Amino acid sequence: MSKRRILLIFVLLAIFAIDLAFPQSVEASDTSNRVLLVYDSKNDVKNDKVNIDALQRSLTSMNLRVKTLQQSDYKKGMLSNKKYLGVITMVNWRQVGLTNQTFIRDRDNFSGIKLHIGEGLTSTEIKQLDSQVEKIYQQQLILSDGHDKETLPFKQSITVVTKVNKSAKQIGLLSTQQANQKRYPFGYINGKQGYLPFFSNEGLSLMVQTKMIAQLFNRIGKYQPLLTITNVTPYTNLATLDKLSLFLYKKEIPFAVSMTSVSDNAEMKAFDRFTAVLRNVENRGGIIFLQTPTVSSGIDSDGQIINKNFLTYIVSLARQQVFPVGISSEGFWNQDKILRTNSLKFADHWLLLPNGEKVNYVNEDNDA
Amino acid sequence: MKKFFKTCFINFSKWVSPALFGTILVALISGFILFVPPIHGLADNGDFYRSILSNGIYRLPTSYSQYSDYVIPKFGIMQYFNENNVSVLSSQTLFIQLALILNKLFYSKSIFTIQFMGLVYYLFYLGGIYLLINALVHPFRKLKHYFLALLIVLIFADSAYTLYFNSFFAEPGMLVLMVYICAAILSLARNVYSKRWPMITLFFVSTVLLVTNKQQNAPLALSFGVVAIGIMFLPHFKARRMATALGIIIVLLSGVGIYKSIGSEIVGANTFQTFSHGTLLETGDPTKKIERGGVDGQFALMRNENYYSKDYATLDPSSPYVEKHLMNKTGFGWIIRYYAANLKQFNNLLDLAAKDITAVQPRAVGDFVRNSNHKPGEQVKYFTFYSSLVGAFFPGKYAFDCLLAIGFIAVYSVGLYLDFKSNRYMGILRFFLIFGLMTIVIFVPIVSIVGDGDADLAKHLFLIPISLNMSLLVFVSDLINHTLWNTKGDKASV
Repeated sequence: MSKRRILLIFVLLAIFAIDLAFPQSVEASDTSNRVLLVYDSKNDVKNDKVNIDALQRSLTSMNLRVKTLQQSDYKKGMLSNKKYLGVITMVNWRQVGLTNQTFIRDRDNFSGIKLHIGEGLTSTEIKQLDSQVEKIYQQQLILSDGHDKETLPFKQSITVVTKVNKSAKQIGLLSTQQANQKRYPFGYINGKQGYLPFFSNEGLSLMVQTKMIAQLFNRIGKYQPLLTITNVTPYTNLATLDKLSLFLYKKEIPFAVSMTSVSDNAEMKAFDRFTAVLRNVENRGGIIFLQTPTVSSGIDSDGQIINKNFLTYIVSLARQQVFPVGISSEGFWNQDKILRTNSLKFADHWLLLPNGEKVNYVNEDNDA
Repeated sequence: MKKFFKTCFINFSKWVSPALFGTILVALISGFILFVPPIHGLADNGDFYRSILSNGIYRLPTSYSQYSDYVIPKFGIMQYFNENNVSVLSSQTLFIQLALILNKLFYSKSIFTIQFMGLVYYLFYLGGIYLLINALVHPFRKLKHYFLALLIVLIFADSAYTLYFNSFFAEPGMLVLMVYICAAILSLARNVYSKRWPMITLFFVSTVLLVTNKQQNAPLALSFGVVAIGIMFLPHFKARRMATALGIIIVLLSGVGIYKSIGSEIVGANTFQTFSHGTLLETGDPTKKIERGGVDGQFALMRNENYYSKDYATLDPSSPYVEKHLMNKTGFGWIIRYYAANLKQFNNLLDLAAKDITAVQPRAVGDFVRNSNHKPGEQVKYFTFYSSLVGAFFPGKYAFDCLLAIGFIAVYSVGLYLDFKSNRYMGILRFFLIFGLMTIVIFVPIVSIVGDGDADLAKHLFLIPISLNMSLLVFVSDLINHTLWNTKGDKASV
């Protein structure tokens, strides 16, 4: 294989597999880190449920425990200062917007941290933000943060903050592309009240959003992307994986490998070969995350099967001197009672990846 | 005393023929297990959806799992447009639709109860059993013929078979049709009825329905084509010989048709399972073996994995990666070449199949309904004497099955030769029936292993124990009627 072809494979793999991931240790929880996320709609037609998934994952990475509710499921009194550190309102489909008046009333009375994402700011919220907002139409804005810039997709309408309180914090900057360029803050924090005009599940927006939410919830830490090679399985072309890890090692690029393992047949030569390459990855500074398998059905209703599988994965890998530093999974595993408690609990470090095409819950509880 | 019994028997035999006697016994024995609550049947192994959804039947929502553990007696009937495509083309649909009509007439328009499915098979089955016993014993009413009827009851009322009736599996249809096919040929061979065309029609209709009952039955068209050759030898039949030839062609075409109707998804599942449940089994470490065949050795780790994984999969077998790197390489030709290079492994797999021949009652699913004070997945033991006896003593070796087949064919070849010389047809028809049944015994295991590995093996072999039982019955009846090699004395055909 020529060098150019290896490079091509690398680039393809990188495009295919790099995901922004947020490794962070998770500690036992108490009420001081619980957040309530209320959204208007999943907006399945535009597949905007990926935004909810991305938000859930970044909150978890900040060691926040997030309870997710669709607005219609909200009942009076659910949101109280005793139970929650903060509340996040997410308008995911502007044509729907927030309609649950009970929630809006409870939110107005809530004195914890509040974040509004998307359009439909109420007058109380604007008052609490202590600013003025304006709806601008048909714009393609540029998001900048320090030296980083990103051209955002075209937006029909977007509500931006026009008058800024001096004590307020601004994270990221939105600018128009017209001659007399106008600038608006992207993330806006006034005390305990925060506002994001939209939430995106990728790119610079996701990083700036994460930074903003971390500041709002007083989370210290720097959130940096990690090059993660996902979709590695025991059936992957091992020569390519080996070459890729060598390439990254020589270029001194830190990386992680997220791989699934098998619960049977670990005595075969094929398994030895797989683990030999994984040992190479470890020796080259790559960190290994054990990825959760594909959920084929909800038959494992008490989680015994997945629990046993994980024990087998870990033991069979350890026998071959492969030691994953944590567990990686698609975001929905963290929103499922059975899957979460029987797999993710095996590790202190989680790597939550975007949901794939097949999302099969065993027992969804949206209470990460 | 002896005289008393004799007069009793004479009176009894005057009123009740052996066929009626046997049929009533089968009706009582299997009716009890199927319809007297708490009913018995077979639980869903996950395959029911294929036959029920396209027929407008759906699972009612429950708080518990409806798979494997218990028989689910109630289903819902769709009231509006059914959006499900016909996932699998099958003559099973005819039986289900008939059950649906009965259900709507006598029970409910919105709830389907599984007993109606059982009832449809049950009624057809009783008719078949009557024809079969009649074909074997007619016109005699001696004590030994009643014993032959009892033997048939022992074999065919066995709960291992009749439990299938209360389920949405395709197997009960196969059992019923197989009984009709054999009864039709035997009736023709022994001239039980004065007119021949009803039995010939019955044979061809049953055969076409059987071949189209399940896609894996496609190769059986050849076996039944062989059986149908016998019909050509019937006397005074010149004009209808063309019709029979046409019938054979229709049978063969139905085989081709059902084979062509196999969807790409099922082809994918079969290709995968032939690999994971076939080529990777019955051998040490297959890593290097499959590499020699040009497939990445890593795929050896897929040993024993199902295409439709039951719980979790390391890598989804239906993913494009598996299709590109595994399934596109392991086609039919590859499998043949692999087994040709690993004959010992292939022989081991055939022995595995031979062991499964006697496993008629599926052990993976329960036979009882919920709240019947039975454990999940528990098996019925009522009237399973014959199947457990055979299960315990029948040798699980493929070579034995072959020898048995050769034995049967050799024995009936003598009858064929003698009848051929003396211009009789009974031995000829019978020979082709036995010959066709034996091709099932020999070739179905090979086709199953090459086509789907050991996945669902016992169910793929379902027709083999029926074929063997049928041959045994023909043999016993020939011994009793003294017609094994000399059909001249057969009073039925005079």
